[in-house]
Amino acid sequence: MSIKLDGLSKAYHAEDWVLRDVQAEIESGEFFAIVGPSGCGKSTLLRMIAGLIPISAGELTIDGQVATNLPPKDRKLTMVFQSYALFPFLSVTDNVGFGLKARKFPAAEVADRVNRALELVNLTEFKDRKPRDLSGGQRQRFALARAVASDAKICLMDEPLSNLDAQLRVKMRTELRNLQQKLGLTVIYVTHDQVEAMTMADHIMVLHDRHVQQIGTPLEIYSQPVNTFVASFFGAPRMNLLPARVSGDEELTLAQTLKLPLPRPLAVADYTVGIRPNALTILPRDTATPNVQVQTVEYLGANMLLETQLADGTALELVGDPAMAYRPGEQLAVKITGTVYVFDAQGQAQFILKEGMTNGSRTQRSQVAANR
Amino acid sequence: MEAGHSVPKSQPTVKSFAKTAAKGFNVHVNDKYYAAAFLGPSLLILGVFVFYPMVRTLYLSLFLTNNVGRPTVFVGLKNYVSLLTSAAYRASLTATGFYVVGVVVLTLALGILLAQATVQKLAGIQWFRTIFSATMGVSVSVAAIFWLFIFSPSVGLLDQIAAFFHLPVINWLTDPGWAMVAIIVSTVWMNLGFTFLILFGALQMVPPTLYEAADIEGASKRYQFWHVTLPMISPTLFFTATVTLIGAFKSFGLIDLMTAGGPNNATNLMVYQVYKDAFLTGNYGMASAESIILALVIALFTLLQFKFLEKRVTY
Repeated sequence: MSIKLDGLSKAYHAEDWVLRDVQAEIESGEFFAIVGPSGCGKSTLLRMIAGLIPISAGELTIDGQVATNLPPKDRKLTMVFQSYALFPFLSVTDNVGFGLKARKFPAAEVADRVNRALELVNLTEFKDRKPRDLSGGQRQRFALARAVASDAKICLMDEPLSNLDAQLRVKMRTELRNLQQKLGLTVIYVTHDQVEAMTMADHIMVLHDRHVQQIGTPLEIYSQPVNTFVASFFGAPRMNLLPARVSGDEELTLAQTLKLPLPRPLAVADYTVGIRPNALTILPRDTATPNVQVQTVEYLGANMLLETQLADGTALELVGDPAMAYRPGEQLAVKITGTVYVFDAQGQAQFILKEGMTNGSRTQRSQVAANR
Repeated sequence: MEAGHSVPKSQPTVKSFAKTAAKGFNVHVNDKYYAAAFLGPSLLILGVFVFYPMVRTLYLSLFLTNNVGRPTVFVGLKNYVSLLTSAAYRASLTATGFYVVGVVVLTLALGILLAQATVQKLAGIQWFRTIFSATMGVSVSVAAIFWLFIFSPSVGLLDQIAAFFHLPVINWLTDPGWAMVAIIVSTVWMNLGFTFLILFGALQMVPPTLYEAADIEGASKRYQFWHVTLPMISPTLFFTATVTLIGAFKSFGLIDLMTAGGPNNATNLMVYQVYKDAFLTGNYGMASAESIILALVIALFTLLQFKFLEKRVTY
């Protein structure tokens, strides 16, 4: 069951687009995540695919069949809602069998499918309970069972884990992914949580500001972001984005202090340079001239997050070894030891420097991957 | 009475309460006075206006009374016996039953219909919502005049329309069968504003995702109404049914103003019989017995409703 989104757009008022020209192909059996910040239109897109809101422009193809104007029930899909949308007056069994009964399946088949679905999510012992008598995680599995019982091979999920506590969410991620693999479901999964998308998805679509920013595997999204939005949205702690300038000498000057050699000449202009905190190394104290000052520190257990400032006041986030007990106010020397991303003034990726360099001195540099 | 001396005491009670509470939440010593201070006023009002009349009615129902309502001869249950063996009173019971069932069923059905129709998000729909709930603000006397204008024999609006189209003219208020229909229609109309508003609120509370889920699961709109909407609003529906039922048993104003129990006692409901016996013929003992029967009937039906419906409507 493949799905093709061809130029899908949504406007509630004429020409006032909330979603513009969404292009994607989702393979059968794929876990496809739609990620973006609140209000980016990701739920709108999912509802358009489900048929709950009309598609303003573009074409939706499900399993080779044009589905742009089909009613939801004819799209051969199911949906798991953020609120689970369980019927509070029905038992688990009746909830799971609701759609089958509405479609007038014979009672024996309804019972059979419901039992199989409940077994799949380990809820058989709760079959006579009402939704309110179940815990959050059980309700979530129960909503999955309802989606599974219908036998549809496409399952849309609208932030299904966002109502769970952090620990359960991590556990359910695995469960969800296993279930999807086991049943060969094509899942379109909407979330604002980049970690969820990274850990579960085969492909990720990044939505922002009405447009698709990038579609790719989690690795591609993380290692080759096409613009500053994608670069800073994925990865925790977030990527540092520093203002930079190319001056006549073909060197990129970061925040007026750090110099970076360029693999190919760039026009003299302003750029943005992205460096993930884990691509920066803090040198041992008193081994180099300090170039940053620590503002705040945050202990995260295995490591420590440092909010620092460069000489000109630009913020730079670092990760450090908690054993070093860095303190606010301290001066530190920092060296770039990982990947550096160069974006133009519009935030579009220019190229990637695979290894770093320190305070302007030239070191090795490797293959530069230019995007797009 | 009890409140009379507990109120002045309340001042020191509150103070000592505060003191003990500050010491360590050990407040039970003064709980009695504290409770009395709060309960006093409402006990007083309920006592004077509810409990005393109830007991007095029960007492009077066992007596013959003179024309100012003083008990004269103790007759035991004879008032009740003569009522329940009287064909006229049983006719009144039957009429009441018919009226109550008609009013409750029609009020709820129309209420749901209007609420369901206006819960959609359409331009200008709030005007309809306002109009449909407007009968809540109409007094019984105004409603009676309005419906008399419509139902009046020959000069009423309905009969004029019927005459215009050469349809048979119906004597709405003077034909025993149609008079009952007329007061049921008028009462339903009066009830509709409140019922509509309550049910509309209930419909709005149904989470939209339930319908979306049902849409995706392949349930038709009709199926959704019976299997999602109705169960979801059933607690409210039950509440409305109970309130409407009790209200219907107690209907008086419209009947008094439109038919005065006539024609030929066809709309002589239980409450109207009480009114006639107490205030027209001065037969207070009999009226008291009728009141007690009415109270018992209402209690019985309310209990039955709770017993058979409440379990099904809670979720």
